[in-house]
Amino acid sequence: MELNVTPELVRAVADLASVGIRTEDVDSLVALMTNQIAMAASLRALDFSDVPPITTLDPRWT
Amino acid sequence: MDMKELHWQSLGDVAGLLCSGEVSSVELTRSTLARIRATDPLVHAYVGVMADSALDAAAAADEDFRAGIVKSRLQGIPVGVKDLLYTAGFPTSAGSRVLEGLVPTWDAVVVGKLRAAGAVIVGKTVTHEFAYGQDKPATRNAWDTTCYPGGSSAGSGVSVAVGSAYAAIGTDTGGSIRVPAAVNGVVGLKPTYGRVSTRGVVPMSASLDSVGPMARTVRDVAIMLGVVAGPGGPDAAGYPDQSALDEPVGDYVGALSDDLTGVRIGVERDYFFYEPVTDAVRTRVNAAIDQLAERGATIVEIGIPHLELVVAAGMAVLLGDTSEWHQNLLRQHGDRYVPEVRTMLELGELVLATAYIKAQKTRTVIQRSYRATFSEHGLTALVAPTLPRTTMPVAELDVDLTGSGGTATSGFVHHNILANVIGVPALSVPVGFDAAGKPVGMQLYGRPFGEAELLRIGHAYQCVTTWHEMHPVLPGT
Repeated sequence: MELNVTPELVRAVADLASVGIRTEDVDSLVALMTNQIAMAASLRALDFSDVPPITTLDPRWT
Repeated sequence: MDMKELHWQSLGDVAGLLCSGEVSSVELTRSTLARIRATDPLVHAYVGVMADSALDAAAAADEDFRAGIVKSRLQGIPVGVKDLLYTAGFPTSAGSRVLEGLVPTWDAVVVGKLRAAGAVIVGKTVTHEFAYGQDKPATRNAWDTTCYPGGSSAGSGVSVAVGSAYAAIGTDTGGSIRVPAAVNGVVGLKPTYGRVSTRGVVPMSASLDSVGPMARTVRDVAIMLGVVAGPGGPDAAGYPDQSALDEPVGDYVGALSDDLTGVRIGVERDYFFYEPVTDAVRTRVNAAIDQLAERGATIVEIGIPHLELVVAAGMAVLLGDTSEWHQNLLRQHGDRYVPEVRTMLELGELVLATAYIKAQKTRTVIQRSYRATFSEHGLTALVAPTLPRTTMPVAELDVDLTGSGGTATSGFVHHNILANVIGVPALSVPVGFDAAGKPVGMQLYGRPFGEAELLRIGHAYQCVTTWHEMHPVLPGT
């Protein structure tokens, strides 16, 4: 399903994240968020269930 | 000594002049400060010049030379440092009004290593705000002052290109050393993740950030890397510097050679020579590949699966990490950010945790794929254009770093962020000019901690070419 990113949607998601978005930023964010969601969707379609993510914790105290 | 042309000498050459006593560090530093005064009104490479402390450091270096003490090849040599690195007693703004008035009380590890090596830090070089590459700083391209200087290490690249520093330090989260190196016709190295300490550097992403050197020759970059590589000591609270890995620092200068016998270099055409790569870039990089073969390298045509996922994975991590660091600052000082950076920080707050983890898994997949390709073909390095095109007028610049917008800057991310996504080193070397006289860069990707091999290849290329000896002409300088 293709998501239609609107100014209202951007504001709603920003409210959830507690980001106070300025009116003049909304149009830019609609375009950027559309791109970002498309890229996330391209990754979401892949099955990497057996792949470890690149996150490291080095527990040494030295 | 002709002081007028001293600024075009290489770092390695002036190191020889200093050692032989033909020139003093104070003379060299005065010459560099004069060069900054002459060029900076045109290119705006520096945000702050440290004239007094530089002359003090130069005098100390001269005293050491007189006493027979040589701490390193950098002793007495003027260098610039990106304004993202903490410098004790001198303002660090990260190019932002948000940090206005910040005067660190301690040096970044890299700055401390430069000082300990006897280098003379002449100033802080301009960065895009918080290294995001979104805004248009005052810095201008060394070869055409109407054009984009690259970013975010814009000032570092331009200062080296115009001769107002012998070398400079930059940072690279998605190409920020290699892009300004390419568009200004200088050499830039993004080291292996963890090769150089990031302590004391205003961060973007803890797992993508690298600090590295820029200079006019590969040999000079090798000299710089030998000084700045490796972790720093414990911090004030006694904690070790975990931002750099405790790997032995190689003899990068000693490993240089003009012979590439035994070196195997992969060429990947589908991703790195895709349609947006201009004919001028294609022609120059292909000619450079031929010259590497003439030096003895074996060129292998290869494919690397999953490269099409690199930008999506890298940008999700970059956006999320950067926005997390700025979370409080954004809410407290949102009006002080430039609007383009602010919207990227807001966007980063909207990256879902599941998308972020999927991106981290994708990095593993890409890393495995890259490693398998290197193993299968016995590769020493991968060669590609640093950028799909040469620089463009600032007035025409359309910034889109999400990598999916089809703009020039999204192409820059496409070519560069692989090295950050999987943590490998990458070196940009100038390989000529387009018809309009704008520089073209070739990029060499390597194995983890394979800096010496990349520098060897780049140096061998510069042994038989003269692009690095060509300098921009600025009116009245």
